[in-house]
Amino acid sequence: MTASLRVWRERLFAGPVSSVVTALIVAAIVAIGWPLLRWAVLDATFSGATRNDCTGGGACWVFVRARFGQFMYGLYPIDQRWRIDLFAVIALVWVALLFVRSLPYRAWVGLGALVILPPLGVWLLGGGFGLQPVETRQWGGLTLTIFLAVYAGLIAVPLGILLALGRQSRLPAVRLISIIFIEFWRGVPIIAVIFLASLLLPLIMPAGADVDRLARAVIGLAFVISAYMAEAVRGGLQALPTGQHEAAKALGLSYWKSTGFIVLPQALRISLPAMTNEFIALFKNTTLVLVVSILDLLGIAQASLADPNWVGMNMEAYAFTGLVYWLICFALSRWSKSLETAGGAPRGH
Amino acid sequence: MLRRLLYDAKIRDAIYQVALIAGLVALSVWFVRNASQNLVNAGIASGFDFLWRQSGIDVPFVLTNYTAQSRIIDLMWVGVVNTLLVTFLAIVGATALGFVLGLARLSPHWLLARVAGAYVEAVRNIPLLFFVLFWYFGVIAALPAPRQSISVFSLAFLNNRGLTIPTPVDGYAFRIAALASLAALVAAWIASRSAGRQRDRTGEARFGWLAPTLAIGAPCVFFVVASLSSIWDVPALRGFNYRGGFVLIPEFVALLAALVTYTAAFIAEIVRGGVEAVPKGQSEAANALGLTATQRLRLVVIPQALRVMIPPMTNQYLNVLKNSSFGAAIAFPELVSVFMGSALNNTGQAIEIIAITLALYLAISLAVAAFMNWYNNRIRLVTR
Amino acid sequence: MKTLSGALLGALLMAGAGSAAAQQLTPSPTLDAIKARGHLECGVHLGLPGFSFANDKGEWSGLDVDYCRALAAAVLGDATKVKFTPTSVQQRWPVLQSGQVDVLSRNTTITFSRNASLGVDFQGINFYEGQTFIVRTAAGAKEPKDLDGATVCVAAGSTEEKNAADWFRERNMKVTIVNFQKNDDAITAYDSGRCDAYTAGVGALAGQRIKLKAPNDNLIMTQLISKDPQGPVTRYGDERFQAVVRWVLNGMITAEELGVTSANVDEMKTKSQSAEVRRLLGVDGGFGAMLGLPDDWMYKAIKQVGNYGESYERTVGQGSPLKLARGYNQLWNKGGLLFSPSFQ
Repeated sequence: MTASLRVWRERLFAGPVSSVVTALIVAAIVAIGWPLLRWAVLDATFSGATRNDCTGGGACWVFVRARFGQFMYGLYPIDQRWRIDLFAVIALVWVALLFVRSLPYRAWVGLGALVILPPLGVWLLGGGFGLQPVETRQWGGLTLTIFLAVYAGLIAVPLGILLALGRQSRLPAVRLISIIFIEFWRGVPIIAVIFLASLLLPLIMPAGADVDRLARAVIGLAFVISAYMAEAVRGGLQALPTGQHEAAKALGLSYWKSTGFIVLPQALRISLPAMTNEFIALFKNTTLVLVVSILDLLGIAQASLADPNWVGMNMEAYAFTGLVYWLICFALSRWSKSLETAGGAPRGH
Repeated sequence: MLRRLLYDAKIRDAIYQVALIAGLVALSVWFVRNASQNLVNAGIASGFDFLWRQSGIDVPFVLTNYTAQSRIIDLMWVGVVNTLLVTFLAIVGATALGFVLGLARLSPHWLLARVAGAYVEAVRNIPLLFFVLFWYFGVIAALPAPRQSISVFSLAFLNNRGLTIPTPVDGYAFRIAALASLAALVAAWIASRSAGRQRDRTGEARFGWLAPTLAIGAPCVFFVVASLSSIWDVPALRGFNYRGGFVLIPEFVALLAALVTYTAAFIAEIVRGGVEAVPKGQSEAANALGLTATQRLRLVVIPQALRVMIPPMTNQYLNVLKNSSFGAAIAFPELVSVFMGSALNNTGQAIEIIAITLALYLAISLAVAAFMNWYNNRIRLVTR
Repeated sequence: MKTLSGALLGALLMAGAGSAAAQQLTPSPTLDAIKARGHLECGVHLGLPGFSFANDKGEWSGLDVDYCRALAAAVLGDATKVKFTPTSVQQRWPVLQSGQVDVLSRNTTITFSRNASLGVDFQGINFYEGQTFIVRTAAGAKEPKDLDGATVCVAAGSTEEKNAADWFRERNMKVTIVNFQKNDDAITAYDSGRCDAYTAGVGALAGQRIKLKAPNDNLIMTQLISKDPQGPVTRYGDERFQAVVRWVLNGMITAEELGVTSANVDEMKTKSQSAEVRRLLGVDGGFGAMLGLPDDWMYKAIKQVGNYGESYERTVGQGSPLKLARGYNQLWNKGGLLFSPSFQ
């Protein structure tokens, strides 16, 4: 007991400066934390049905409860929401399986996830082939946010790998084009790219060929993120000892074989944490689609603020959606950290 | 013969590249043709003449001599200037706050390190848009209405319309002061170089005080003199709000605060990584030489950490530039907001305006990157 | 021939068959596309109560929405066969120009430069709007001229942005204008005290006012600073579709003038002796066929949506929370400006 007390004294009151710092921080935490706690919990209203039930003076979480379905699914038809749930369960179970290291045929299960899940998701969400079609304009909320991030990521990762390889290519034209592509997309703001994709894409396609509104946002995001992914992969490629490439060449492997089987697997293992961080950035940047009136989680929250029945719920809407974004990004960044410490560095030197 | 040609690596490479370029050229030609066809079919005006038309748009935060009667190209320039201003200030602020946070995370003080860590973890995982909106509505809500303004010596007034500060009626004295300060800075630079050379040669630092005095003291004196000799336009409450002076609008303050507090979390991580990359032996050697904690940090650790930090810092600075476009979400008149927003809507010339906007961002990005590369080369480890 | 029939060719052939029955019709790719896809694509406002507003189930209502429903009923026979694309101030032109929507019915002011340089055409007026200001009652301003020194929130890229700048400059008034990218952002900023006033059309203000925290503490000024007639917008070209868009609106106004309502339209169709009613409802004259539509096109529109007056009262008038008086949007013979060309 006394030993731990001494430790704490050492940590918090090592000297006069240290004690003052401790006092200041504690005062700041109380000054900020107490009103926040009162607003969010003590004075908040949790149950009820309308705005009039909120009389506590604190947060009106009734609003979030009333709109919870919309925050999750957007304007997706209520009797069809099971499709989103079903896909979420399938995808989660499938991906969770990949974390079981002793799983037989783990590589094939992983490949299967890549080949089967994306089209399955588009089918379950979009409908057709026996399911009632649900147009993308009805999609929204957290579903749409995750959809945007995942599908943009699915395009961005392979594209980014190709660009990173292109940047290291011995063919000058390939190298130049890769560099221009990467530097262009890294140099412009995402908000401008989303405008670009939504306003310009219809104009440069032949008359009559329509690209879906959501697909346009996915393409715009994917291009930008692929440039950042390319830089993350390049880091991995550069960290790889040149001996690996030379050894593969000595074995008589072609460029694609040595890249695919020797270089990339090792480089990707090194760059996985950096790539995860880029994915987190992508996830946060999906919020910008609201400038083109696509109702992602933040968009649907803002739209619900315009409801005359729920005027003045800004704080509640932003606090709740902010927490959702934070939880997801925090989980991802923890995972990325664990990758860094676990298997990040190339083995064997 | 043909077979041998195909198997020749050089020729095959050439064929690949020609095919790639031809494909890309064909694709762009196709896009351009579609676009021009679509524009003609739809009867949409095209070309860059619109830049010289009168804009007719009022902007609440102007540092140039733009008015609603100016041309659209002047409106674009307002956007560029505002973007550059907020980017520059945000970079300075975020770097300062980021250093403080990064060093706090490494501090031996348990609570301080934890609080800094919690801040970084909390901020890095929230979309920037939340920050911008939080600061904006937070700032407006926290400030009083114009009639209840917070007065600073009856010269400047803070309310939810912004911070109204006095401005000189005529900027002549200030332009002279600025030029004189610039001269003082050049003199300071020369003085510090010659002092450094003298120290290297003789081991004695004799005129060390001269450079900082010139760099900080002289401009202060110049500006005090300039302000005393100017006639001031002091804001006064009339009707709805204070008249006269210059208004620092809440949108500007909110965007700046959001960019600083958000970017600082990323810079803190870079600082921490940089400091941790400096071998422990360096700190220990500094201790052994009897340097104080501040000296150790300033003279030994940070100069070495900087070398690791510059490349990721460059990326963060470029992010600040790009993220300044979030000002569009809260009506701060930066480039995206005034040009891709107001001007685009008034002219409808989407292709031209988007192309110009992207080109401007690219140009600024390249300039920032070039400067950071130059700085990186300067502080690189020189093996003697 | 059958082996060649793709979707496009099929549509062309259908149009050809139709023309043989009536007369030589100008080809209308837009009408053909609407019929082939089975629904009308209509661009509307993101969310303006009274004009176009989606409730929490995603069901749209409003004056501009009603017009699209009537157009769908006239073209496809079913007022529900319409899909709405919500558009921001920025998006509306590209969305229309690139053909993502067939028609824009979005609280959009008719102006010369839009007509001349954006490749869009205005097909009539469904709402005579005029710009004014909403202010907090406590501020004491009653008319626009009281706003000297005020800060005004406005949506960037709207006609209001320029109108307000011009109006104050002409009167040497010093007013700060803060331009937001979306109407909702502007109204939120006004409500949180950033601005002394928010400016938009009278009708739009009535719609926005119910989004305020305390609607009754705010005053909508009565003096207008501009004329902002608004109506459905189409792309250049395709004159036959433009005629349909124009005459559905005229039809709704004429129906009100002739006393045809959704309640009595069946009775009117069988019993009315008025020549114009009979032509409007497709009993005589074969007017629908002249446009390539079924003859009961306006009957369907009025039956399913109602005449202009019904739509007005339901969406922005006494039957709505906005409670806007008819004002200029009254029929010409009752003191307003609505004056439809006749069905002859």
